[in-house]
Amino acid sequence: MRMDLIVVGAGRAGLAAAAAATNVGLSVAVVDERRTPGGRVSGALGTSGHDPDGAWLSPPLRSDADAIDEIRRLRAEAQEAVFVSDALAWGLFPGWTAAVARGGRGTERLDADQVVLATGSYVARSPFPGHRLDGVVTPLGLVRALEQGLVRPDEPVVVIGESASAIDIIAVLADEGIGEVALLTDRPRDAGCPVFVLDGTPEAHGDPRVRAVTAPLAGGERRTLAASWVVTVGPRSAAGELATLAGCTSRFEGYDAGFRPECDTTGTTELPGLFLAGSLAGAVGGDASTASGKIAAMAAAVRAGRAGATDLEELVAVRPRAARISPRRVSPVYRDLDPTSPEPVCFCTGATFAEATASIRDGARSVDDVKRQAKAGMGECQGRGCHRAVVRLLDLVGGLDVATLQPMRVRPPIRPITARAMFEAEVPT
Amino acid sequence: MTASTRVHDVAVIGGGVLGNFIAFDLAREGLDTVLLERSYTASGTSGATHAWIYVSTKTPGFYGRFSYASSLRYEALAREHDVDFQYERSGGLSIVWNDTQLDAARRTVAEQNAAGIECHLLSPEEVAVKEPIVSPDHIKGAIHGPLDGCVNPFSVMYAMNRLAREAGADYRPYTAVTAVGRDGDAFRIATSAGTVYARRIVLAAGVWSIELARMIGFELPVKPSRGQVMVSEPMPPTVQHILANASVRQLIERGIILMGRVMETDETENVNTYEGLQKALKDVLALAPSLGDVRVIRSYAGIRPKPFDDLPILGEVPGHPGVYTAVTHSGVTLGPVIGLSLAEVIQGRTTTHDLTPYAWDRVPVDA
Repeated sequence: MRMDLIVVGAGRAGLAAAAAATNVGLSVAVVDERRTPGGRVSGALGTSGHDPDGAWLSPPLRSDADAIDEIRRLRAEAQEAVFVSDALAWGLFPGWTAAVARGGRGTERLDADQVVLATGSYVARSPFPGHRLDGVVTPLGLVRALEQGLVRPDEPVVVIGESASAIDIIAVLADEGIGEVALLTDRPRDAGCPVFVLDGTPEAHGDPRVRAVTAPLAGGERRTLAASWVVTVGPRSAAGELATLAGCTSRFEGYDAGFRPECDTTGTTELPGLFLAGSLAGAVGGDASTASGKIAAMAAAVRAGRAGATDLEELVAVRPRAARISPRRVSPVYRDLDPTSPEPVCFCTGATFAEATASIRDGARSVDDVKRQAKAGMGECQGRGCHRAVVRLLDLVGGLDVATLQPMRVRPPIRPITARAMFEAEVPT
Repeated sequence: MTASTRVHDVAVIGGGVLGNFIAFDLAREGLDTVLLERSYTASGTSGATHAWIYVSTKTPGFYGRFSYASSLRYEALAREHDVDFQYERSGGLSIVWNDTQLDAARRTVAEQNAAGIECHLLSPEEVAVKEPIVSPDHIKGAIHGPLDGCVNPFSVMYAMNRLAREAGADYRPYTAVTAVGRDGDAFRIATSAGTVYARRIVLAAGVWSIELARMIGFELPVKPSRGQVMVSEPMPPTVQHILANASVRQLIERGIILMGRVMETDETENVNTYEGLQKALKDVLALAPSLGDVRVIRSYAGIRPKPFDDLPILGEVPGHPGVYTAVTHSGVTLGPVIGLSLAEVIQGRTTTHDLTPYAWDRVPVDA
């Protein structure tokens, strides 16, 4: 299939981009791995790290009626676009070609002059001490445990997290009637449960099942909380894998945002014809995502000669802006990581903090150096789970300025898929 | 250069598998050796290969014997220094896809057997018995080479780098060579991290030796050739042999399967391409359909140096006294014998192996 524009991601930013691009007469294909559009609004909660079932998306957690209306409106406005759903864009190649695996049945090749990436964000796991104990789970793991009735109402649950998703998880627990819930986080928040403000890296204890979490708290207190379950809701990272794969350079935006591919205020990247929208363009929140999707599509339309530069400038002038966070701010969970810990830093290969540290002491200076020497990040999630901790070690042990680091090199497929699903039946000759 | 400037005996350029073996052998013999790497250990082509230690199809016969000697030195070094290269002599099956290849395979087997290298031709059915994952439907047979095996290239490089440093080599990662000139009887090597002086230079930087040679003032008769490989999730034992010509093999340590034979001459960009991956998948799925159910977790690409006649180019460069090359398509296979050989050549000693076929004087002027 050949189009003027491929949009990857059918969340608010992607739909807004598709709507704006079709409005100026561009032919558009929208690729999304879910069956229904909406991205995070309709419950997509990208997780990271190795999942035994290979699942990367959670069932819906909570949704917001206004946001769902907005998705419906944008979807209707983008009705001229071709929707390729239940489809993983596993590769993006300059020129532009998107390799799209449809429902695991095989790959379809999509070609276009331009691409807007609106692939959203995912929740990272934080490899803190004790994170491998039984009962320490991701949001997805918790949802599964709830579905299977494994969580008893009287069991204490500790949620560790610094994002809005942590509040979502607490709401899910309340809906399920789980009584004793506490939140460990980075600042006072209204969570509907006891909130403890962290001043350092927490630690889970137990053998083999978690029993308690010990945490240094603001004010100097060290508190131990009983826990039968610990839910780690890591920070949200821009899912920039396709952009990195295509060749975009990135910037480390701190332990919350992680690495984000570079683009200007219009979403324009250094690669001709590649534009970023939504979380990838630094948008925070639904309205900012919608605006950034429109802007990226208009930038592509200007480049294609279908819109004027002033139309684009007007959109940029009124866009909502997010506060920038210093890349050097270290979130509490990463502050006091023990570089010599024998615990795994990499969820996939089991490479330990001590091994990663040894490679840095040996001369490794980049996330990729540590990957090759210590095998941290050499597994199936391509470093989504461990890259923040490795960045922290490069800072702590190697004395490197984190603002100068680049993310791990991304290679296709960006997520594990079968060889058959990667294969296009009719090979180009 | 002043009287107090340190002048190394040898500067080895390139911290891949060859550079590390050469630096180890030079330092072990007491030469003051500096190893210059523009990035970091294993960041280049040596970290992006299949890492076979292949013998059976390395023709002519003398080249097979050279490769076999290298495989033996891997085993000897592992014993002597108590290091684990994850070397496994699993045996190789070089798949024969068509009648043209079948004729060539018969000649290869005859030539290697005459040189004393064990290998033999199997029918499609015999291949499927030996390696049940292979479908006999689309093949004409295979050369079975029991001497063939593979290593983990990362284990090799980090181990040899450590041994080289323990033997006294000065390893300098993140030191990219930017210019090479003469200063008295030494070379002045400008780098991204200061100037280095050495009496001799060994170019062991794979395809980047092409640029280094131009800096010095000669042409290396070598072309870049891109390979693309896919990596599976960890699997239980699935593939026992190296399946050459579709390039499938399983790593013993973590159970991952490497898949894909793509060789693209004159491609210099270190990227995976849509077309390259599709070609690799086509071969793999034709050879072993059940690998279609294996999950691929990523791919990689490496730019390999392909000498004009496919044989290594080893030794001092004519017209450039003190400049030596160590360039080959098969750095992982040949690392141990090339390290040994270069140390002997540089010290003017009689070499253990006959290096005549790999010397510069065989290179035609117009190559």
